Amino acid sequence: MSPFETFIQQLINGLSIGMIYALIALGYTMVYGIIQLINFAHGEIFILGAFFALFVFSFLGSFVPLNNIVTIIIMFAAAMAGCGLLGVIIERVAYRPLRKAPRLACLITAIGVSFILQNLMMIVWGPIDKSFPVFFKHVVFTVGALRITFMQGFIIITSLLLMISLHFFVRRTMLGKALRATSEDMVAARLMGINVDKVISICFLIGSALAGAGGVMYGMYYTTITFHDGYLVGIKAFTAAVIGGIGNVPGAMLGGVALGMLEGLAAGYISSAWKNVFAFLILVLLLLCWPSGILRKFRNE
Amino acid sequence: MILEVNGLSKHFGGIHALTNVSLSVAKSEIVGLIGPNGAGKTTFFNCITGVYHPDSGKILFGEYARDITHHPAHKVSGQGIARTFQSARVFASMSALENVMVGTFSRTNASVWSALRCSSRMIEEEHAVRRRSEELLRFVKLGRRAFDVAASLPFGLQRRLEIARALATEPRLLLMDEPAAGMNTAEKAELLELIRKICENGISVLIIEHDMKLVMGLCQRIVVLDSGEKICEGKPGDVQCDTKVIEAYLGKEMHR
Amino acid sequence: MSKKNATSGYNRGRLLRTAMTVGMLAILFALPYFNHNEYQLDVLVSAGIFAILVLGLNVMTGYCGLLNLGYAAFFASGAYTYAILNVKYGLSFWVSLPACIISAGALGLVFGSCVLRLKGDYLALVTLGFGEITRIALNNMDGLTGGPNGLTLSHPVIRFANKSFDFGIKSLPYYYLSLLALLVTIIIMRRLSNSRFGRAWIAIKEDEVAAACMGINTGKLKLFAFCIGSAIAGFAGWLFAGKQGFVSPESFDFTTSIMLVAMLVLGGIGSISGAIVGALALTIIPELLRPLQEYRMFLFGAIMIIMMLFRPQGLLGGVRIFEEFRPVSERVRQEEDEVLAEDLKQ
Repeated sequence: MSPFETFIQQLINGLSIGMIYALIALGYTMVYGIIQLINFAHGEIFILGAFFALFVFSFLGSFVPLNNIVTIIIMFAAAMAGCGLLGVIIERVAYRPLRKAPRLACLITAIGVSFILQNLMMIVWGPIDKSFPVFFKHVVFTVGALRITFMQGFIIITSLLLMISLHFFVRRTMLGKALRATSEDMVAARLMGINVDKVISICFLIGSALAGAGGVMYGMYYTTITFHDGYLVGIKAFTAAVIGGIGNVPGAMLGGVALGMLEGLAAGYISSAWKNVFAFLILVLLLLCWPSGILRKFRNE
Repeated sequence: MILEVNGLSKHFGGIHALTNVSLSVAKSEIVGLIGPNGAGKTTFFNCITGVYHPDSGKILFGEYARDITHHPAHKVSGQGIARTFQSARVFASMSALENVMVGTFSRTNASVWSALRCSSRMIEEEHAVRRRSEELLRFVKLGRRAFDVAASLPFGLQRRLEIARALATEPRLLLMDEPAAGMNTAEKAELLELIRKICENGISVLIIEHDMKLVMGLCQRIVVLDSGEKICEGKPGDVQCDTKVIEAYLGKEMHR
Repeated sequence: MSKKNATSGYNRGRLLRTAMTVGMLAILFALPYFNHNEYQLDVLVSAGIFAILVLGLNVMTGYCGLLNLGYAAFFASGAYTYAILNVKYGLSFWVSLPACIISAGALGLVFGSCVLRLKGDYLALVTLGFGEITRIALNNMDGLTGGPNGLTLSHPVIRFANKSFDFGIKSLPYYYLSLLALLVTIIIMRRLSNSRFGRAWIAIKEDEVAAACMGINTGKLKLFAFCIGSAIAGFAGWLFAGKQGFVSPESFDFTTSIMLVAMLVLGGIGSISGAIVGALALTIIPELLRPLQEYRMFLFGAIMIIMMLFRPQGLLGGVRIFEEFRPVSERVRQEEDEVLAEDLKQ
């Protein structure tokens, strides 16, 4: 492999994990855009998606033999439905009563929710790595010296499909319009007859469902999951959201991909023991030097 | 002149909040700043007190006309400009007395070390601060509420507390942003008297107010802003008759 | 109301307070003689160290409103300063104390001067990132910190004339040491929060713009709060390392930082007594519920949510036992009563 091909290979590896970051980052950014809350529990919701899918998989597997594609679809459906519902419940129980409270109070609550979810996952699924089912292990596409596994291709295509449908939802539907209006100005949106509570619930539903889908793909890609994966990946996805400018939906997609690629390159060329420092370092430096992100969103305050 | 503002401009994005505004306040003078909503009055205050940085123009303050244009807010306060806010921003969780004591921060100089040692000088200073703060609370007729939590005070009293807090910074110029908003007639009369008393103590006052009766009765001079520009300046009676001012408030007469 | 009555009423209150303080101290100091249970004393020592930490965090988060999610990093800097000085240079426990406080304080100063222009949740996220970077760095710098295996230290020894007293592994000496350290911290906190600095901090938390317009240099005072808070964390870290005789990155992870926030939130943000009560409660409750040790994080999370939803001021919020505004001397108190009497006559 030539150095250039190695570089492209690292980029492709980074792209697939970056797509997952982007899916999670969308949830952070949508929630932040609408109620200015860093939904700290979002990372836990993400990894719960993987656990839900795993649960459905082992549950189904013990009853009926299904072909791979149907299994994958059912796993995604379970994860997205479960996470979406959970997101809505969390918003309802923990965040809605605090809508008028200081922002730090909401952040503290969000951290509390995250801790509770992490603890519950540890108790239900145990503190050790759980292995995740692998599909189409041996399908590999090769272009010259480059290798793209089926999973990588699957992640990239599925994520793209999900993001495109989100884009159309936000841009083209009435509900999407209400969403954008609420994130611009909640009071004005309410005066225009938009049911703001419903819009916020839907925002949590969509964000959490996307994170759930991301969780399933994460499990399939890395083949093992543990309860504390959610925290680290969650922080990375948040970093991705900040890269793109928090509150900015296309920015989150770009930020996720950018972070994944950067991380892929860093893991390939710099030591991997410090790989996680790299993500935190980007987060700190970014917040310090460039808090409005790469795609700036001008706003009059 | 104690305050001289020359050609002050400030814009946010494409909105010109202030364009070339000049204004001056003499010692012991009460100047009114009026204008319709969104005329840029509060922005003008924010620029003077260092909350915003103006784009151009000069702000000169004091007998020696010191340039304070880009000073941060705490330095402006240290120079002797105090202000109150449009929406009574008292420190909600502190008692009324503590609120006023906060105002003395820049006029005291006990070090961290002396606070940790409880040195006699620091205790002496603390006494003085406390006595002065109580005096100020009585001055604004809040003496009895000294130990009440600020948030529990009714809005009108929070306004007066804010004035006491501003006076605690020992200002030479007091900027008041709509002090009478939401007050009834009796409270307004009390406020009028209070402002007069402040002025008698040698403090100049620049006041934003919508209540015309109060402004006309109180101010020696009035400046009118409209859409960020100064459209008129003069004695209360003259300003009232100025066609530009009437247009700004009532809208231009339609040409048939 | 006559002047004499007012004064004696004040004296009675003061007497009661002094009596209560002395009584409480006497109980705390005599406790090991009534109930010398090694394990229970050990828990109390931990509680004392956490109380000091929460008091430090309270300066940043409680007074100044700067949420710090990486406070364990400053705790670690104190502990590791002592550990490295002890292991590499053979410095004793007592001699390392100033170095621990200064290194943590300096870290707070440098870090604070970089990040304090950020506000609210962005600041919280940066402190979180800083805490994690510190932990990973401690894990990976094997040469200096011993990596994940940590460092083992010698026990503190007091030498007086020809005699020497080794603290050893018994809890009793550490109990008195941490009690003393806690008392010192409380006195420092009390004096600071009653001074012009304490008032300025709370003003900044309440309304930063208004505080700046009242002549408070908000940047400098926030930095000062950060510096004091981290210096206290360094102090606690020194004590912790001495008591454990061992340091490893595990003790300074994100869960520790969040546990401290949960303690603060439980007791009451911005209250000295609240910080102590919170630390005691959240150290002792998990120990009482040993069989449910697995649910520790659940407990912290639930406390944070429940407090924010139903009692955001904390258990002792609003009850300011230690820092309730007291006149600095009896004379002022008398004057105050006269003033009130005068006002009532009006």
